Amino acid sequence: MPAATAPELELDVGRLRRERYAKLQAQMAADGLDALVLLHGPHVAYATDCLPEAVDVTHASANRPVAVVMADHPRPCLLGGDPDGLDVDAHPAVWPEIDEGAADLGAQLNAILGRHARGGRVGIDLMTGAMRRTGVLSGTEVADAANTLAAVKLHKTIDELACIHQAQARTSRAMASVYEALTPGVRRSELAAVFLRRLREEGIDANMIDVIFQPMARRLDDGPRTTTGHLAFPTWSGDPVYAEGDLIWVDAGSDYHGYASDFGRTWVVGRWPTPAEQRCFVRWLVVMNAAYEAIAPGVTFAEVCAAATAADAPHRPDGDHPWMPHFYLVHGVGIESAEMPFLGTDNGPDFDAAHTLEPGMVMVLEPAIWEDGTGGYRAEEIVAVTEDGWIPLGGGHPYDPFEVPR
Amino acid sequence: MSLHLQRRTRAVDALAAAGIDMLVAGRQDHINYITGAHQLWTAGTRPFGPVCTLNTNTGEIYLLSTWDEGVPDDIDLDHLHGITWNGAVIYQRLAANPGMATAQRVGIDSWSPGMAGLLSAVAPNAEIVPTDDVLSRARRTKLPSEVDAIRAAGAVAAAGAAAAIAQSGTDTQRLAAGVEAMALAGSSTPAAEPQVKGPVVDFSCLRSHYEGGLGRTADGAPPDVRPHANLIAACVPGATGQDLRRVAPDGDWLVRGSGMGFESPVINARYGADETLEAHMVLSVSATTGTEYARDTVLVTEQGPEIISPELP
Repeated sequence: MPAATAPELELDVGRLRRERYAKLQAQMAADGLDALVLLHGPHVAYATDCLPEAVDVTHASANRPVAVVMADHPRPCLLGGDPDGLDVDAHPAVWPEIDEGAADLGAQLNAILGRHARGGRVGIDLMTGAMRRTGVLSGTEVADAANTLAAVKLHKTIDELACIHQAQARTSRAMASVYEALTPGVRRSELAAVFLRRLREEGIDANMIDVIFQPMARRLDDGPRTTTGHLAFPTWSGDPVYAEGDLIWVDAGSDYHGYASDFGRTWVVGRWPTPAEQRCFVRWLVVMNAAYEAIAPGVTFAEVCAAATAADAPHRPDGDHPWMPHFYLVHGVGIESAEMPFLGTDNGPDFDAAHTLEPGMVMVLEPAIWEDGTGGYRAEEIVAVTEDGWIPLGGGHPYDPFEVPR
Repeated sequence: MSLHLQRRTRAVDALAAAGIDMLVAGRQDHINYITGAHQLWTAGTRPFGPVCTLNTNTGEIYLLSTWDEGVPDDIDLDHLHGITWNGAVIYQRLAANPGMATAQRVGIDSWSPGMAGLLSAVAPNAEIVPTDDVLSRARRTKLPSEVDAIRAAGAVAAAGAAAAIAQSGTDTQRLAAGVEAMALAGSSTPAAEPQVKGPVVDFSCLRSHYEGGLGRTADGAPPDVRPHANLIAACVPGATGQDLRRVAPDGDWLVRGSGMGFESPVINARYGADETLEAHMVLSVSATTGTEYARDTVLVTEQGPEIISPELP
């Protein structure tokens, strides 16, 4: 079972930057790369600590900073963004979405890459159309930088854990205020307003997903149609007014220093859960406890999935999994809201059997229980795999209005 | 015809004129423009992945969505692809997409080494070409209903700005009050990052896919002498980027398209000299001189510029 609260995790920004940069350099050497050119916001942040703004994709793309990491160079280059306070070689901003800006970027890259601009091996995560039109990096051998980033971000440093812990704890405190506002007659927009205000007050200025307070139809047939024949969640849901007894599935994610939280809970509006609703919650708890018991370094993804599935088997004549078929039992979290490790996805049993938990992996557990006609229970908790087990991150948020059995 | 179908017609016409048989789109704004679907908003850049395909010969659309909630009726459940975490599934879906194998030109709106390899495999006869420029050109003049949607979003952003100006306390407290007011007025999704720095505020939001926004120095200059006043006056059909530069203030300034987020044209001191403004463009016009900052949303009409963001109290 988890400790009641996470251990004290203090963010040391200098150490965070140094350790990530060293990992990037080592991985570039392993991947045979002379340079990395990064345009995806979280990747830029990983390399430079220039944090992505929580803005619409169109704005994030138009003004995007670009990071360049040269093998064996002591600092990353940052084109655009705000280099103030960062340990970077600062270069002028470019606008890679427009052809003139992309041409500027190409010229700057050639200057930074030097001899590697002709025939060097350069990892890049994405190019804009304008970069393709203007022939950026056309003299290099291009490799997929996503693979390099995937390798380094899989195992978190202690400071990355501290960021996720802070993100989760602050998101959780903001949600405590939202829960107080959950009364019959309240609108989704009013709950969102409380949440967004409280996040700012908690020192979080990066809300990464339009916060979800989805009213769940009690029967699948009354909900949206799906490709799976199962639940539709999380959907866009407009601005509903909640009535007493509505079942609300909550999901939110916001960044602290570039690292994501993932908050999930199930709420009932204006009354205590019925015995049938409470039963769903208890099933969920049993699944969670089985998963907690199974998590340890060296354990395969499949073993964690099997433990969770076995725990709920008495309630499932269909032998199905206690998680939503379009999702997973577990996803990772870090600079992305969902990243490796993924357990129980449509990658299938062979994938789960072939991968093992390792220290430094961060896991968001999100089983979901559904009893058609009653509704269901879903919540999320984050743990980090350690050398000898795991620790919770954030954590301790109550399951109200459901009752945790003693 | 509903707004999203009017937009789709524009997009299909523009893509067909560019010789594109199949569009593989990953950018949410392009997908919103073509499908009208309400999908969950997430912040920031994304890796390139095939979220939506559009066959410009048949009009057939496939959309990545596990459910039909928020998806217009003209896209059937059997044209929805559920969320997947499996690269092989993505490959199979693209390979099975009618028209993909025979496509001569496949348009993409972003590019990555991994996706380039995948598309070459599923469309072996096709030239893979960037078409973000084709789409952004189709989007830059606005339909009347789009202008209405931008006005409505502007009112929501103005509610945020007004609340931040009215609120006392630290900049963080005023910013918190602004985003709260904006959510209550109808949008919990920002377009750009809201700004509250002393008297300077700037708020923008997306409401029903469209961006509205404005910025001010509170208790600053009256409208006709604000730093962006000459730029706004110059926003007439036929005006070029060069024309805007001639009247621009000495400080920072930016004139850029505003619609389903940040759009083209982009005109500032460095870029866009050769751009030409057209009637029915909607522009975000911003400028700073000294301590004075102002931004408004401007509709270019045959009769001249019309400010369509609200005045603040």
